[in-house]
Amino acid sequence: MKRQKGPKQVLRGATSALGLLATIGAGQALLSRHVTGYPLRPRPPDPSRRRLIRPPGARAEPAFLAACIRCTRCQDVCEPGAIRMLSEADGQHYRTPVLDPAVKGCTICMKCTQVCPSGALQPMEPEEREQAGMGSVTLRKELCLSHKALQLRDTQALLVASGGQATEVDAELERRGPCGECYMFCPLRDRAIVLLPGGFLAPTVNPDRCVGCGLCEEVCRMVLRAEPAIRVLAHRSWA
Amino acid sequence: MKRHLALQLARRCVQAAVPLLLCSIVFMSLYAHYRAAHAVGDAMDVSGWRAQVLGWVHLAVDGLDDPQGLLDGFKGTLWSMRLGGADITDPLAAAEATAASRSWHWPLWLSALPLMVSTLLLGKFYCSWICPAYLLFELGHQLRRLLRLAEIPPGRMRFSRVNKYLLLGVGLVAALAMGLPIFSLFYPPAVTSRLLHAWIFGTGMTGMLILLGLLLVFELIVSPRWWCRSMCPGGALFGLLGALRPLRVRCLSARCTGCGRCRPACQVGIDPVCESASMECDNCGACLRHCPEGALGWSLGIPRISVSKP
Repeated sequence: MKRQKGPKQVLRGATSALGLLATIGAGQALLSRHVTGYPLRPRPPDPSRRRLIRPPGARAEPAFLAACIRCTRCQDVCEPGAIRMLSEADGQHYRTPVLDPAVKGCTICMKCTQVCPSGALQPMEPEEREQAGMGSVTLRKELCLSHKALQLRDTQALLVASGGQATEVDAELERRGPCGECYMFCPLRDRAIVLLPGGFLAPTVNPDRCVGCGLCEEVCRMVLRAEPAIRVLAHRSWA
Repeated sequence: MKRHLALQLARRCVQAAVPLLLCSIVFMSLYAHYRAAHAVGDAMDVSGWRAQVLGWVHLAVDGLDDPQGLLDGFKGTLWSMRLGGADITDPLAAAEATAASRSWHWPLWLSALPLMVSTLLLGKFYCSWICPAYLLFELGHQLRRLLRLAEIPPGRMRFSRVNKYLLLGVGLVAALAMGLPIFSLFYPPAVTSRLLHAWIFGTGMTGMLILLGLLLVFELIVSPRWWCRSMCPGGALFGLLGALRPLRVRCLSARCTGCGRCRPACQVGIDPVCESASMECDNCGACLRHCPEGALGWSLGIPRISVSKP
């Protein structure tokens, strides 16, 4: 039982420590190849399409990864359930919080920033929501119901004005009509999303004022049940 | 002897209560999500046994004056949690976050203070009373009996106890160099606690299950209690913090007959007679119960530096 603690022992210790780290590394490599993300909701197959959107007040990327202790407290306080944790398969991002507007938007309540113990999320008040800085937004008019309706009206008016007959309207398009849901859900209404004059609730987006909460994308996905017309763009990238 | 038995029973109760507490914290969080969804007329996707437990939480919480206040008071995992309104962080998490981010964050260290101060006084009590992975490994240790029943001799390899201090140092230096906390990835209490969280939330657990499974299998067939005795960086940190603890296990050499029955009882694999004052002892008190002569007891005294004898 009694044994001398010589350099041999220390060497043995060091090798077993290295062995452990190597095992973990190998496990990581294996996992990242064979396990994808959340089992609840399938990820898009192309990883480049996955956006890296962090909760409000997150530090810039390398500093965030260094400061985050992976305690899941932000996920616990996120009452809309927007915050999800990445898995060990995501390499250095393991168990860090992300938002996926394709699943759920952030209500910018700022609770997560206040519970973060390590300052990876800088504490913010709900009044500071315009500085949340999670991302920005882009609108594809060719997919937007309101813009399609607006365009339809314009073409019909042009046809009638030029002495022609108004064409038959696609029943589906007619039924779905103008939408405006993104505008209604936007927490920074009339700042990040503005309605175009001329009716039909056609939105325009202001990427400079948008904080990237993703409520618009969530509802747009729900309305269109397909690729949304309005999408959040991440400020940060997977490194 | 009866007193010592009561202490061990109390320890078992606390050990069992910790995972239960962690699970109830997760259910309270889940219930808070459910309430929030309900408040805006949304439905949350819960079914099966989770829905059943959420129903119990609802029964327990709903009649209170301020259910939201109660729910907000309990959040997180063992790595960092809010417990009745107080923030409690593992000192190892604070140390590695400080090293990785190369910046001092006061609130983080303030929340690490409760565990640090209690460790200064009580030694590595966190290991033997609170750590859920310690409990898991203790249970895994019992499986060795099954191996013996099946006449497969379980491995008895021993590794140096110095390894954990090395791993603590290596890990902190690596965190500093890589700018990435790495203990969070494999530190068993954090992983176990996170595993319970992920299980109840229904998110990915593969990596964590593999890690804990590998550790258990290694301890079963190669080296008994390998992680706690010679690898745990948290145990190393708590050992260093509790090196000068006033509360120690002490041996009255006049009564000790040298029968050696305390040795197999020791969870950390030291000889309680001559090494109980060292940094390795986690003050679990299991040896006290196994001493037929009553030679082992507690001493509450002025701290004095003593080094583990080889």
